Amino acid sequence: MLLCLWSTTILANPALQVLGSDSSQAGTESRHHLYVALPESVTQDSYFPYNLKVSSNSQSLLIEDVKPRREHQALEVLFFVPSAWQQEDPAQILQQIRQIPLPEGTLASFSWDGDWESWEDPPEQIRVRQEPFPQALRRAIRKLEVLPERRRVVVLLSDALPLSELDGQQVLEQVALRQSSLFVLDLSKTKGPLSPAWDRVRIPADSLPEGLRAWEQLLQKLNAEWTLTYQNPHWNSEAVQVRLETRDANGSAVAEWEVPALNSWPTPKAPLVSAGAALILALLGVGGLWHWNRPRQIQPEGMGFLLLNPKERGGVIDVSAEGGTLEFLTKIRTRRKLRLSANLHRVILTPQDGTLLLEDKNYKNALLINRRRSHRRVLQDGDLLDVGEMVLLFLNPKQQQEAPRTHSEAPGTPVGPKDFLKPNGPVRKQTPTLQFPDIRNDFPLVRNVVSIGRSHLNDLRLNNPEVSLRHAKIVKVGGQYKLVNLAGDSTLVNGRRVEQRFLREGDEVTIGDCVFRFRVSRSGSRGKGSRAESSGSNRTHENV
Amino acid sequence: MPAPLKHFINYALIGMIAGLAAWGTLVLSHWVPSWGSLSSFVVHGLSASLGWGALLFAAEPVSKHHPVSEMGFRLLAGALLGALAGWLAFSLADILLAHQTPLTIARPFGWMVLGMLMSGVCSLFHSRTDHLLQDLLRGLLGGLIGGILVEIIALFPFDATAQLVALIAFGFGFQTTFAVFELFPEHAVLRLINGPRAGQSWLIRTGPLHLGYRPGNQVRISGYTEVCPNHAVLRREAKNWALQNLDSGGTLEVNFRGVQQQTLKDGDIIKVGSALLQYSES
Repeated sequence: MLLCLWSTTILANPALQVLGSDSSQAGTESRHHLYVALPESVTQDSYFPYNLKVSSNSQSLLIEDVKPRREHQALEVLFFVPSAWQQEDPAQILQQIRQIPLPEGTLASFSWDGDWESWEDPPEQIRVRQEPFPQALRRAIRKLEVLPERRRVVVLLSDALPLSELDGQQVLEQVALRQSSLFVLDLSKTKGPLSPAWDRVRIPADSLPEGLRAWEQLLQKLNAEWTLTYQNPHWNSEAVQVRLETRDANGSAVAEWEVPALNSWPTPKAPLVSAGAALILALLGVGGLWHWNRPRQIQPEGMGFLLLNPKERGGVIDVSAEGGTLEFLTKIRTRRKLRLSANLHRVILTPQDGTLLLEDKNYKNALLINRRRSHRRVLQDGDLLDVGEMVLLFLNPKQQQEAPRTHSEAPGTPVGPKDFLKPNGPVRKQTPTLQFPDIRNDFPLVRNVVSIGRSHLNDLRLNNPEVSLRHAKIVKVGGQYKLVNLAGDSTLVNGRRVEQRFLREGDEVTIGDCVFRFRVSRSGSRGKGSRAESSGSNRTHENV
Repeated sequence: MPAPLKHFINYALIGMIAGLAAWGTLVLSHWVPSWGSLSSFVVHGLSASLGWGALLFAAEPVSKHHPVSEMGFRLLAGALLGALAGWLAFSLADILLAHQTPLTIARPFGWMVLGMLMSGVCSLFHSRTDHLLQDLLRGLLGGLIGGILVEIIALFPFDATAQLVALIAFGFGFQTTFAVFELFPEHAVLRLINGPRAGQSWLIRTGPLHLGYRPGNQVRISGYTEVCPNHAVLRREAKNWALQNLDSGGTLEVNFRGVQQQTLKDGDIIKVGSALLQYSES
């Protein structure tokens, strides 16, 4: 799209002259054109490499193209007459338009209803269609053919045109597609209700002489012999001073030109609403995707088996609470034929304590429970059955609900009496703690003797079958803490079996299957001071 | 739905939604009256990568159905990181432009650097450097392919709608490159079969994979008792995957036998704390 704006030209060398400039911007790309008269030395050269240089703020810009005007290209001016004038006498209007000076040899035509009429030989009767102006203009533009031998400029005589009714961007693009440019010529002082976008396109002139001067400058630009296309990635909303230089044997020539501010150009600015809509849509999309990704596994209402074989759909096979035999497994349809044991009717399920007791009376069935051969088991939620090739997970929702209660009693979880967890009064900062990997609360060693074991009587209870009832104790000896083994051979410090040992900062204590760390201060090993202190005391222990 | 397909769809959709968000923030940037001394090229890059980064960074919690709060945090942090990365990447591309590089080369270059930075940041957020190099390479390739897609679309009249299409295409190109990278090596699938998140599955890809409840783990098992922050790690050993208990005191069982280290085979049941996972090979 070509737009036209002018400013003063500073001429250093009359041979090098900027006659006009325009810019086209589409999306993030902006291309600028300078219409120039070049010294002969440039024109005689093949212009690769250019001895032309374009710079802005002493930053040189990339010249994409230097194009000579094609001599055979004739200038064609197409006047679009405003609809407001349609009510008046067409002949009078035509006369008025004819006052607009045109260079010699210029082709011209005009239109006010969407058809282009000859300038020289206007029709006797001007047909006036009663249709809105934007529609007429669009139709007129559609009727333009791309003619390489012509340089066209569509002139909108903007006087009182209801331009705000027009989608300016679209019209500009349509004109640009037909390798023509658009020029809005305001011949009157009256300012119509112009949309902001069109106001920029308009020549900054509101009187006839001003408008005509601009017109003359446009013609000068269109008659420029050279078009120079360059990119300016640093072009932002400011007006930019562009400097054109040429250097050759005859010396150098400089021309400067001000490319008007970005605000002067209608940028393809999508409405703010669309941005908001896009962002909301994106958020909705994310929410939808998040929801779609939720874990989906059917939970049975009663007891059931979940088919786990890969490539099977993994449906739940309900089992009645009354029990029965595993015979029903042979009736399940699977995608792939799964081999099963022959005597499944001898595998009997009987209800017991809200769950099922599984008994294999046959003993020849290849039946694995939790991947171990077994013939009798009270099924628990999460038990895995391998029946021949079939892999089944036993699900019992009743037991799942009970799970949180059993959780604190689960093996490996250290459990201490309540008064131990919450000591009366504040705990001194220097009080060492025992840090467990999967428990957020540390155990401060507020007592002089802390016993550890599986029994309820211990200060620190570790519920794990590997832990003895009374397994070990931590004794405070003169400001240091000593771990004393009381039973068995599974009391380890940093992987070594110990009978008794002073604990150091960061020591890893293993009792049975439980692992925890000894920390001197609650800030852990983060405090530098405490580390230095503990390492100092370590040495004394080693000496002991 | 097979896990790899679901994985791929997730990647592609996230990419496209990210493209949409990027367009949203790009359009928003047009309405900011002044951007100071930033050139329009950098402003466009920065604002587009703001929306894009936010969604990309939130991809993991979205595809693994993590809590909404985490997703929100990731969106905000991602927007910040994306804007920063975009500013850096497109400033670099801007320098190229200033040195007479055509836009069609400088712009994909910017996307490439942005892709590399963002996937590097995502990788580092896991505070593991196991996949850093691989992720950087993926980001670079993804950015390049996405950038080329944008340039192809930019050949046609490039208005706001075309921009939207281009950005969505960029997101799609970027993410599918990512996904193909993941599918390329032989993959296996880990699937949770019990508990609150039963049915969730993870595609096992190259490199070590960490299991645990801490957010940095690739296989994050949250909502299960007795799972440690860093519980175990899956490593590639010759042609198989090997599971190793990290020294955290948690229990690890393969086929209901406590193990420290074990090579996995198809159909194995892994018990991490109270969570049961099924391992199956493709």
